[in-house]
Amino acid sequence: MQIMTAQKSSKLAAASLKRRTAQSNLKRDKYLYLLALPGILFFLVFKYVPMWGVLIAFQDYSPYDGLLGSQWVGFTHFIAFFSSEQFPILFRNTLMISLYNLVFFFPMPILLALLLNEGRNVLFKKVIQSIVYLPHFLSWVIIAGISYLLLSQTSGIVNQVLVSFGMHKIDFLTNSHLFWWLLTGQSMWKDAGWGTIIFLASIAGVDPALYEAAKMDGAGRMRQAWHVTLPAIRSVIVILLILRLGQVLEVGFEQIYLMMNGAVSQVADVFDTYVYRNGIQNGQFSFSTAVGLFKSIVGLLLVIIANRIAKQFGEEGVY
Amino acid sequence: MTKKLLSFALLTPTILALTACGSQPASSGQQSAPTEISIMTEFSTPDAPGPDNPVLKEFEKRTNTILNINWISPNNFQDKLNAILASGQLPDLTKSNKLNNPQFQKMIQQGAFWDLTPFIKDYPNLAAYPQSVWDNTKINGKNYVIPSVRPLDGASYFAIRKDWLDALHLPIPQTMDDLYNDLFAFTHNPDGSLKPDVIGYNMRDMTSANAVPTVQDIYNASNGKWKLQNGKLIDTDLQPATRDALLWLNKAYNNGLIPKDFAVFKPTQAEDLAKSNKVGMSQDTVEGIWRSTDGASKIDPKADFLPLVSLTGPNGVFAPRTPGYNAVYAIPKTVPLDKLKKILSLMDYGASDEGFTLACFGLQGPDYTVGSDGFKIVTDQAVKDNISQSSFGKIFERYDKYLWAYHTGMPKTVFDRNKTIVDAREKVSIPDPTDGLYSDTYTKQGSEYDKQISDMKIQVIMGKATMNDWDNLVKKLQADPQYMKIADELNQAYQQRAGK
Amino acid sequence: MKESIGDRSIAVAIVVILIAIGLLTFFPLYYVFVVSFTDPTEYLQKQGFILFPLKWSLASYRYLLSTSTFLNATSVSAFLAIVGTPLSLIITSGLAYSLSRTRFWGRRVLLILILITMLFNPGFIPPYLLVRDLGLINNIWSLIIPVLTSGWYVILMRSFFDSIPAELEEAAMIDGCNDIGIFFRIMLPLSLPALAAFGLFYAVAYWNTFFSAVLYINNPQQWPLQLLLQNMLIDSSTSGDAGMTSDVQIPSQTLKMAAVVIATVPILCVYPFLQKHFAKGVMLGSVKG
Repeated sequence: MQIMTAQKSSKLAAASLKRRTAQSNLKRDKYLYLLALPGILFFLVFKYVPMWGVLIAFQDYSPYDGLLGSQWVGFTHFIAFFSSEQFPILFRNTLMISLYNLVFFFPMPILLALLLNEGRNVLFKKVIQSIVYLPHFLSWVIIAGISYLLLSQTSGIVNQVLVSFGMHKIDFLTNSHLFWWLLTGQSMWKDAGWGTIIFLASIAGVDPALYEAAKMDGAGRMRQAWHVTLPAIRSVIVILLILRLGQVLEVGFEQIYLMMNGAVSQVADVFDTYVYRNGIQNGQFSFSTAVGLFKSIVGLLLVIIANRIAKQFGEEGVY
Repeated sequence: MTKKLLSFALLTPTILALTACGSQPASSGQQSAPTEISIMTEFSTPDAPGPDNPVLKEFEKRTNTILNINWISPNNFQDKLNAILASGQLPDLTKSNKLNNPQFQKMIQQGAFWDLTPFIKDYPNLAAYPQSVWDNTKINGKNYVIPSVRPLDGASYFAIRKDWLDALHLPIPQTMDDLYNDLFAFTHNPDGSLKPDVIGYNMRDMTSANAVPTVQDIYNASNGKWKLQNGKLIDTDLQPATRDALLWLNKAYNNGLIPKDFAVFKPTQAEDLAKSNKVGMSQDTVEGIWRSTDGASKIDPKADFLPLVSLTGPNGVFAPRTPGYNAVYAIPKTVPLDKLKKILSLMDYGASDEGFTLACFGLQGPDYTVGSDGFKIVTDQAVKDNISQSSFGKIFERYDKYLWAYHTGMPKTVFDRNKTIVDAREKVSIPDPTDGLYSDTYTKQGSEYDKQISDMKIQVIMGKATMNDWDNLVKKLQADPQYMKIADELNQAYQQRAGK
Repeated sequence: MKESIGDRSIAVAIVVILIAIGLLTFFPLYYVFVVSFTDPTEYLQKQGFILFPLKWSLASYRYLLSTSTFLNATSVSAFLAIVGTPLSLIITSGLAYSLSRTRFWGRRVLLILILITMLFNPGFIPPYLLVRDLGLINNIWSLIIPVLTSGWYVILMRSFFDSIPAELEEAAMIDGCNDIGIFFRIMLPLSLPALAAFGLFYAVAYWNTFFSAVLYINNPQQWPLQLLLQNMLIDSSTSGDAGMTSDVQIPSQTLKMAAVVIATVPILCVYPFLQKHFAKGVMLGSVKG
């Protein structure tokens, strides 16, 4: 409602008045601007000042020559990247890992939040919550270490248990068919529990009267969850989904880098690992920046599209 | 009190040594203000030495310097080096772990670092480094860098369980067929004297650039990817011998001589297996393998990994020779001439017997004692202070042929055996002909090709790809002009250096 | 009210599923714990097949705690989390609140500008140069100031403020409160659940500070915990001095896991407190709704 009135009034304002309105607004809301100031300054200094770095994507950047002294090469790095035979493989892997994440990981916190919300016993709920939040605090380095500890064929405890049950060992870590599942599983273990926090918070904000009303109408627990809880957290889901879509090409670098090996690299190599090898390890700053820029632009487009769609479905969107 | 006396006693000869070095601190005898020197280096001790480390203080005192050392963990060294190079504000002594780092190369070409060629001869301990090491670290015929010198022999190579060979009455292997039979015997021994879950070979030598460096090298009789043949460098990855090496490994894999998930192994994991008495053959430097022997002997007191001198493949005898250095130090042009000389004399002192002992072992008394066998015994204090070849020993180096024969805790018999192994290797070991050669294409694209080739090797060994896939990859590479350019560039660089 | 049989069985199913999830999540943690207390030789002998150690050993812990670096690094990480989190919360909520008010002129432009920063990543060299020019290299604040807030959190928090009705604000305004007063006296207390949640997010991010420390901190005495952990858990012999292996201490699996446990203990200590606080916040939030 508010937004609509604001939009309407701003449309109505005559162009000649616009400047004055701006000035008077600034004056009227000066404390509001003061509140925002530290944040705005932060974005200017730490996010916009370093953005000149994006320019080196169009250069043959040499640190010794600096930004001004380096040679401009236009789109050379982009063309080299798109025409490399790695590109389709990287693109497929990045997209598929993201897709696995979106389809299998993204709904997990929502489901878990709904389950936790239905749990009756407060202590039981608390214990489960405490356990499932915990892995979030572990870094990928640690999680990779644990994964090797559990899943390796030589000494992994999971395989030893399988063998003791008379089954065959499974090559979890070196099977290219299992790799995307492995990554998704790790993400679930680490973050599915933690992700529930934001949903639980918005579920807690639901008016209890709504549940009462649903009960009056004879709705069971499933129907209550479906008709009351889910709609209440819909806008949070949509916002998270939009932001997630913008990150489609951002698959967790550290995770993949730590889990990658020669037997699975055909399905594991993604833009970020490629950039790391070429940019950071080989010092090809310009080339890797170009790849990063390509990723950013795709991400920006995706967010804009997703935001459009969300708005068409009556959601507020991100901006 | 004793500590003070001791350091005083050590100090006197140091001043003498310094003045005798010909580096002439401007006014002889007069105590000038200490020179401040910033150093960027790496460490692989558990912790980095702190700013009040006794060895650091002692170095400062003995050389009249103030050392600001920036210790970087090897895990992050590349990132940090690139950031420092990019910032343009270089420490007075900058370490690069690769001579071939493209940024580093570029900056040398642009004249960012001192040409040290005219100075080296004034510093006797540095000049005493093997000539081949100085030659191999030349760029455009000039020495811009001080190499972190290392022994030429005693490099990482196969080491086999001698006690198991003896138990099965097998001789020391000479060829790859012998080796295969030995490993097979270890894992399938009929009399059951060994445990059933033994692994033949733990693949400890696997790197990201090449999954099977040692076996490939033995088959090609070449130290590394490039082999010198009739005055030309050829790419062993494209040779049939490498194909044979893969067949050998694939057979070994299928028969359970190699761990099923070797592809995910980190060298420490492979080593852990060796330490747990489960591995018939591992791979390490002549001294480094002692860690595995030591670990396994806690479970089986007879455990003994014997470093092999050499093995004979279809192309002849092979044992590897190291390049003689593992990293390089450069001094930026922003350092004035006086200070440059000061830095060089500091490094020269570090390359002296006395300086190198101080760097690696600290001070006699608090940090080490000398045992009856002549070995230095490191105290807990030294371990706590991170005094080690892996900390200060990464800055200050002296050439010592047998450096890779000795390991802390090793009995004298093993050390003596290791010395004979080093001597025997010296006669047959083969150097990498591309040491110090620069190929622009390789530096930029090489790691991608390496990865592609290495991944295929892993898949072929594991049976996830066929020999046919391998042949196709070789054909594809031969038809790839960019890939073939690497060979051309390296050959050009080689001819250029040979011509000089 | 009586429950239907369907609801009953659903309730049972939910409990079973939750227990299963809890066990699945818990087992790896338990295993890490057990391995860390196993004698290194026993671990090697059994090749990791240990559900309960024969003999509890403190060897790994004794070794770890004997190095001063470990405690040092823990205090650095704790400093980051304790000092950084409130700062981040104030800056993020200030900006997010302002942006949630429709009368804020220019908010759309600002939002889009913030969104852009979430997508364009200039790599690590330009930020490094910036931090250097600000004179923050080797300064612990370099691990806080450049990551004080992020577009992601500003936008998320804004949507929380959006849900607070404007009438409250108008009433306060009539009472003579200015925007800053409203923000601190009304808005922040009302959004405690959000603050608790974001406080946790920030605290975790600070606790896990890693790559910026690689770049900005030269002095190992100032390393945060994660950097130290990475050094212990990841193989350094691959990238390091390949041949020079003399007395490189390769931490065994048990030592690594002990490091993991120690790194997690501080979290476990503040965990109940945070969770209580967080639960309180959620309750307040529901009252508000």
